[in-house]
Amino acid sequence: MKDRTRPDATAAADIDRSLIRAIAAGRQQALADLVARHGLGLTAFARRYLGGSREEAEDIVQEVFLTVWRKADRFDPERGQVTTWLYRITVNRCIDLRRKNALLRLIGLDSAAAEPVADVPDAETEIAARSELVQAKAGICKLPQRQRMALLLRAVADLDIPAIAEVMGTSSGSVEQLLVRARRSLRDHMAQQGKGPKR
Amino acid sequence: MIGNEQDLEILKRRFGDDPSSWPSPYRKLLGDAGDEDAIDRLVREAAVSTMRNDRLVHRVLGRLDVERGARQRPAWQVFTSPRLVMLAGFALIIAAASGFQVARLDGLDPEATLLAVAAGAPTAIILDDDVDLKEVGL
Repeated sequence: MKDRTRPDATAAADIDRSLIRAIAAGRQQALADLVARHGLGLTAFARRYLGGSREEAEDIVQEVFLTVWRKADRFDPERGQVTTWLYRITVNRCIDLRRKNALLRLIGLDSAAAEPVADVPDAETEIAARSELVQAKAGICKLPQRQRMALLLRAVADLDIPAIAEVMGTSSGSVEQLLVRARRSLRDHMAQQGKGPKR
Repeated sequence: MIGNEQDLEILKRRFGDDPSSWPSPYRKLLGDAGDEDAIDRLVREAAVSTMRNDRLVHRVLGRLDVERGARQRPAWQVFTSPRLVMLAGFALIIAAASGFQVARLDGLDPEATLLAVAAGAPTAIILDDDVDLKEVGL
C-alpha cells in the first residue's frame, strides 16, 4: 500500500495545504488553483461512482468547492490531508444525491433518477465501445456501491487504506475486503469480455 | 496512461514541471508506479480524463460570485421585491382593520373613516362622534 508520507505525495500535500490557507484568507485565486488541481479527479470519482452522469458529477464538485470556500478556516491539517477532506465531502454529497434519487424513484416523481448505468455509446463510438476502457467503465458501474466507492478512492484518488476508511466511515479491514472483492469482480468482468487488464 | 507528448505538456502547464508535485491521479498517469495493481491502473484510466478543466474553474468561481452578491445585498433592496411590498401592504390593511375593531369605533362607518384618513382629514374630526362626515366634505 502507498504511504502518505512518501516524498511525491508530501510535495503535493504541502501545495494543497498552502492553498487551503490562502482560501481561508479569502484569496479567490487559491480556490481556482485548488479546483484546477483536484476538480477533474473529483469529477471523475463522482461520475464513475454515480454511474456516468457528467452533469450530476459536475454539480456535486461545484458544491464541494463552495463548501471548501466557506469552511477552509475550519480545516485542521493535523487531522488529515486536504485530499482526504475533499473526497470525504464529495462522498457525502454523492450519497445524499443517491438517497434523494432513490426517494424520487420510490414515489415515482422522477423517472430520470434511475439506477446508475454505464455510459451508452452512441453510433460514433460504437466501435470504441469494444475497447478495454469502455468495458472497464461498465464493470465499475456493476460493482456494489461500497466496493465501487473503495476502488475509486484507491485508484482515482490514490488514497491509502486508512484514508479510505476515514472517508467511508469504516475500518481499514473492511476497506481491504471491499478492495479485494471489487478487484476480483472487475477482473472477472473483464475476463468475460475478453479484455483482461494489461500488466 | 498519458498518451502523447501533448498530454504531458498540458499537464506540465497546468501543474508545473515537477511531476512529483502533481495531484493524484495525474501523478500516477505517468506510469511510474511499477507495483501498481493492473486493475487499479485500469480503473484510473477509465475514470480520469486529461481534458482541460477551465470550464469547471469558471463555473465554481461564477457560483461563488453569485453567492457573494446575494450576501452583500443591501437591506433596503429587500423592499424592491414586489412580493414583499404586497405583503407589507396587506399587513398594513390588516393592522388598520384590527385597530378599528380594538378601538371600538362603533359610531363610525369604517369605510368612511378609512376614506377620511386617506383624504387627509384631521384625526380629531374623525374620532369625534358628533362630527358629520358630510359636513367636512366627505
